Amino acid sequence: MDAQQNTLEIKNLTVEYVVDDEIVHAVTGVNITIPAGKTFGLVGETGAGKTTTALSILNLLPAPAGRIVSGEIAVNGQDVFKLSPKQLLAMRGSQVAMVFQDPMSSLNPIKTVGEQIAEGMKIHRGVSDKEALVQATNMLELVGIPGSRVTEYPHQFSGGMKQRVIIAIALACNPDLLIADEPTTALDVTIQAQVLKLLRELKDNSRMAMLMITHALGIVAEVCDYVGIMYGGRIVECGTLADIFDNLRHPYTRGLFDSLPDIENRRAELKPIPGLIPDPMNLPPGCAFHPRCAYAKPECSRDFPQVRWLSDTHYVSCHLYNETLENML
Amino acid sequence: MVRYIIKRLFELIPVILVLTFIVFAILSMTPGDATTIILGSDYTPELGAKLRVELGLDRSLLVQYFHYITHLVQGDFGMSYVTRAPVLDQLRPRLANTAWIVASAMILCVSVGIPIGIRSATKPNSFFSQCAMVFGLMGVSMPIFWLGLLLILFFSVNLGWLPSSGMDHGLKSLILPAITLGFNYMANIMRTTRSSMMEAIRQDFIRTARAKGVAEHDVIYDHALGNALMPTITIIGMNVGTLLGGVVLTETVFSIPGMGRLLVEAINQRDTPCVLGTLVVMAICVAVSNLIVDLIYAYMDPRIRAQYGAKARKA
Amino acid sequence: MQATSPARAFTTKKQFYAQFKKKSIAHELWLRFLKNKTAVIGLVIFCIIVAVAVAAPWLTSYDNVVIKMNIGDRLQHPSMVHWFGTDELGRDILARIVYGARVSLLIGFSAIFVSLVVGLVLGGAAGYYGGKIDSVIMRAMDVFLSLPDVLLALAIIAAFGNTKVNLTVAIGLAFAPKFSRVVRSAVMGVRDNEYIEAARSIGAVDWRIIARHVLPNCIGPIIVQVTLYVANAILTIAALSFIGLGIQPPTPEWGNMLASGRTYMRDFPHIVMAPGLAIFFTILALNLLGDGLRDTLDPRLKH
Repeated sequence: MDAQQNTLEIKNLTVEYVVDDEIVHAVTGVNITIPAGKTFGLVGETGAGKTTTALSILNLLPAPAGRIVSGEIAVNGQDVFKLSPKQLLAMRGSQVAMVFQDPMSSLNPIKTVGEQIAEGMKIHRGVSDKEALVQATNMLELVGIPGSRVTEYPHQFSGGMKQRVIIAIALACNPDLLIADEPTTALDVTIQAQVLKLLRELKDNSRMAMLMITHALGIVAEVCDYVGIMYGGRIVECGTLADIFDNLRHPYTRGLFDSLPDIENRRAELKPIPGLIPDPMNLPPGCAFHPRCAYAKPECSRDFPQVRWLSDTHYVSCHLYNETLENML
Repeated sequence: MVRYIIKRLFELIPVILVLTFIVFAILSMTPGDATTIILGSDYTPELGAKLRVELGLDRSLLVQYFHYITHLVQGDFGMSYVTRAPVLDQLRPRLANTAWIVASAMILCVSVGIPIGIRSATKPNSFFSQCAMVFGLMGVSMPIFWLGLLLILFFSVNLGWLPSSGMDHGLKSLILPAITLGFNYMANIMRTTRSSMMEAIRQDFIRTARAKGVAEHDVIYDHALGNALMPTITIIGMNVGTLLGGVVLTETVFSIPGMGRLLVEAINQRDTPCVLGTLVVMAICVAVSNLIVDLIYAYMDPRIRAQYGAKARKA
Repeated sequence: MQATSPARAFTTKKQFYAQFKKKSIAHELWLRFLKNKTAVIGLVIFCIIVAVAVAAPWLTSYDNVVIKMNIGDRLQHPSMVHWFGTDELGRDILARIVYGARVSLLIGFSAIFVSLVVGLVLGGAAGYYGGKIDSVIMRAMDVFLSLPDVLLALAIIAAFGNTKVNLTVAIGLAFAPKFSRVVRSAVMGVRDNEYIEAARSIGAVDWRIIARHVLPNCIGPIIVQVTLYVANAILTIAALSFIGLGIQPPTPEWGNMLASGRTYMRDFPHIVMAPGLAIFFTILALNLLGDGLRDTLDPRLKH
């Protein structure tokens, strides 16, 4: 892939949090590449490091606890960590925009919805107040809210509509990359469907790349082109949608898919993954998944497995594939 | 919004009525006979009885109160037992002095306390912040009448910069009393602002603002402060009363002829109408200032504004 | 599941529970409290003050040193004989401070006790029953809250005079509305918990529920407020004494010591130092203690 084409390139990102003299290894050696116009789904359960990865892109980690230890992040070819504070501010909201998980608390209660949408436009595009308000009205319409509501306050909107407002804020300056951190988790199922539909439409109508963070495989199937499975701060498997859904290789990925209830076969027992998610402060040595893995071998508790490329697009980190590329599951 | 103001103004009236009634009732329980105080050495039982009827002291409490209120709204605070002149004549000049001190104290407190609070919230572990916290703790523990004495010792006696009493030196006279009166209050405001700002900065919408590329300065002063000010204003409002309580002490320390000192003198002289008058005026001031604070709060909080203003819709 | 050892026959509930307790809750809270350095300092200072106040009769003689005038020795600066110097009537200031502590602490605690009783009753009723009772009580309290404490106390003193009892009651009543609010919100926080419903469902009577379930769980915020209000009460007593409407001389009280010493302070500043510092440190100690208790008892307030 031509580097110019990639909207986002994360290389070998390692992030830790320092809390009360203890180090939390939130993210280790993560690589993500998103070409323009494509959607990358970052899948994993709570605590896997997905949000940390996302916050690192915009350098929004909570200071002073969060530290980027190593790695590079390039947005449209620009190294994010080498930007001056001013350049960073310019990038936030205009080249890269973020939608967070909880719509209920993500809006400023004492500003109108219109003001909050317009703010980004005024900062990044230098439009006048009046013009910004007009464009804010248009943005509302774009996300399916009547434009006349631009003067209302967040508390006057329901959860689903708030999330749409947040999407409107994010899209106000036509970002090249949209990071959506579990955008539908806090919403009712029907609203989820609406919001997803909206995101898909927006994606289809522009060359915007999207990083979709979620723990729901169903959403991934709906919206994503590429998928990365995250566990214990590392990406354990990564590939195109077809690679992961039809040709999965990692035991954890297998476990994720197996734990989905099968609507066809109502009598089958549920197959949860045994054990619990590891504590980021106390990750198991070697491969973090080994205590719960049905295929674990002695080396799994010693070394973290190297990355093995199974095809041009598909790689996996698992000791099962040290000697062979055949499907071992 | 106007509807809300009118509604609150109407609610003010019963509050004032009840407050004044309470004060009236308490004072009417003063043992001893008012007539002996008024007549002093001229007292005889017949004169006393006549005076009692004249003053209406033989009627029931409620009737007396009603009588008092109807005169009060016309500006008649009754006659002082001591000066034999309308209480209002004593109140008026004193009220101005007290108003000056209270106003300067408030301005000082708000203009110093809030910025310090904000600054120490944005950098919670800095040296500035630690100092501010220590100052805040000292401030709320400091007895203001002692502080006044110390200030006089230092600035008047030692340095000779500022007057130690009275109101004759214009603005200079106000400085030490304002600092004294406002010291506790300012420390309180600073601590409250600091904690509400810290709370506001932790909110999710601050993260949203930062992600939009809003400059840190605007994140603090535009987004966070707007939300942090509301609990701060509530606390400021709740404590206006303590300022009025402190005014008594401050005027005593600095020998300022104000309402506070009038109250103390009147109590010492058993001049009940004067005591009543002073307390009533103070109670009204507190009630009115509470109302003003509530209105400011309502103006700032769009949720309340929406309730009484534009139509509220939930989709 | 493995079988645990069979429970022994217990005769009292206490014994039964004791086998499960590793550390009592009080012990754990105490350890937590100890970690807060400023709170511990506050506690230490306060204990010293109380100890000194209690030990006063053994430390110095009331009649001879504290009250008796000694004009020959008047207005002496601090020295080895008189650590804080002497006042305008030749009395040892340190001795007077020590006795002054007794007065302040006694009235302060008694007044807050009064507030507590009134506050528990009114606030408890308002919080537990809610509805109309709540509205009525709270509106009444709101009106009283409009009047600043000092002024309300002054009104009562103006009417009834300033004996020690009156002072106690006046200050107590002045703080009662504030207490009611605290109690009410604590009770409301607990009332909706499920174990209350459970208690009701097995037929427990209201007062029993309040006494055994609701109040014990409200103790936290109440203790914090007690500490802070005692500080306030002591300050109010000193303030009232300062303006001459509280404790009268020759009874030593920090506030009236400041008032009588004031005339001489220009040339003898030492005379206003000790009483002021005494008030300041007492209130500071109580504030530190109160803040510390608040941090210990409510983990959510720590960030």
